Amino acid sequence: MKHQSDPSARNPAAPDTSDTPDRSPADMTPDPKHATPPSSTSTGPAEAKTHSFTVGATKTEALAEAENPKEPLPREKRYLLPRLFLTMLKIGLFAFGGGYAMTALLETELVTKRGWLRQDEFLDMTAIAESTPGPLAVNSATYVGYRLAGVGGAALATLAVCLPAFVIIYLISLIFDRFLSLTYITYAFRGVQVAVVYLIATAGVRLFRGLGRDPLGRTLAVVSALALIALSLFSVNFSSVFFILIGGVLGVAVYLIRKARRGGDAK
Amino acid sequence: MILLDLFLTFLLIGAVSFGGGYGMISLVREQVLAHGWLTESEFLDMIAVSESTPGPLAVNMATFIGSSQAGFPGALVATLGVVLPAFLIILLIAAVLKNLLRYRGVEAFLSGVRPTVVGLILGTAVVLGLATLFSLGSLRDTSGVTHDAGAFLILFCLLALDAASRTWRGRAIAPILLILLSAVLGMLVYPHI
Repeated sequence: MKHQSDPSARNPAAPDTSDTPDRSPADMTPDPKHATPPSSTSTGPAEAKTHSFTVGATKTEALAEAENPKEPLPREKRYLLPRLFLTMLKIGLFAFGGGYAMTALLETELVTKRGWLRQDEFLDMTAIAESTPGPLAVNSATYVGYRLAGVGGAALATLAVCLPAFVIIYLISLIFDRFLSLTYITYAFRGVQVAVVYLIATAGVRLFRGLGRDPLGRTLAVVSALALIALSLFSVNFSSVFFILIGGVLGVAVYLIRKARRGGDAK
Repeated sequence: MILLDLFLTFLLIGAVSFGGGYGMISLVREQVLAHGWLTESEFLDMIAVSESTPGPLAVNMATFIGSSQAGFPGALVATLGVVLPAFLIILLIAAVLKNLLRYRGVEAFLSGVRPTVVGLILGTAVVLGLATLFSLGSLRDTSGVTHDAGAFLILFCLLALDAASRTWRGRAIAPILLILLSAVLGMLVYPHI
């Protein structure tokens, strides 16, 4: 949750978006000046060979071509779909541990080995994948798949990344009950339950530290933790969904209050 | 109908789970307990399996729970449900709302969501800890409260080993290794309690 990609640092050739006026929450219409810069402004030799359908193309052309190819794909694009599928399958198979391990793996495969994304595009994708709901692997797969081959590519990539986990877990689930009924396995799993609690606790502590020094953030985290514990101990049914929504609303409220205090002006 | 139930439940989970697998644990636990799909103990077992195998935690959990409730179709609809919201949202952002995340209002919303999710994770750890170590679920029913000496012992060992690893190797013990260790400890400790 720490990747806040700084727009001005990434791509010096792109228009600097940090000078633009503060966007109020009510203003949701995209400003054309904010559109993602076309690939032709990037530098670097590595991506020249693989961005054949985006270099020089406008967004509409690229989308159109991605979704309705009218002529046979040139040689390099012909193997794109199988390669995409296999790469995502591989990522799905080695996706242990989530988080930063996954990010490193994605970068190796997508940027370094295949050149499907530039570094700054990769950072963009990571920021998006971390800020939207859903697993990092799935979000990344969808994004890369779409960028390379439209909606179909997105679907293929997502399918591929989920497939290994699905198959493995499904097979395990078939024998699990029988497995668990072996006495020593029961003992083993009682031990494992302790480890699981420990892992969740350490993940929580690590993420808490990752929130940084912001007192508001830390307070919110502590308050929601205590609230959850209290509600659980008193058997009150209050869904986590509401926690999340309330947290988000509080975030917006804090932003609006700060903005008002500053005089409500841009930047 | 169980398939619809599974699909809708995991659709909900997939839609609000910010922060990956751990962020979902709180909601998944809540839903499976409410639906009576798993007991607290089975839930922890499921997490253990989900953490020990490759793949995103979310997909693993959905597949496992779906399969346990309704076989292959169950696994399928649950996984589909948990993946769909993310899939659609990302497509939307990549294709149309490219700059959605740069709008200050959205940033503000997320800046509130992130700490909340962290809090939920910490809170869940405490709740599960109370259940595992003290068999304490609710203050309304304290009859079964005991302390599980074996669990305390194993926890202590894990803490010590992890601390040692952090000091001397500079990093924590990998989750799957921790799970294997605790499995072995469990087999050593519990027969004698």
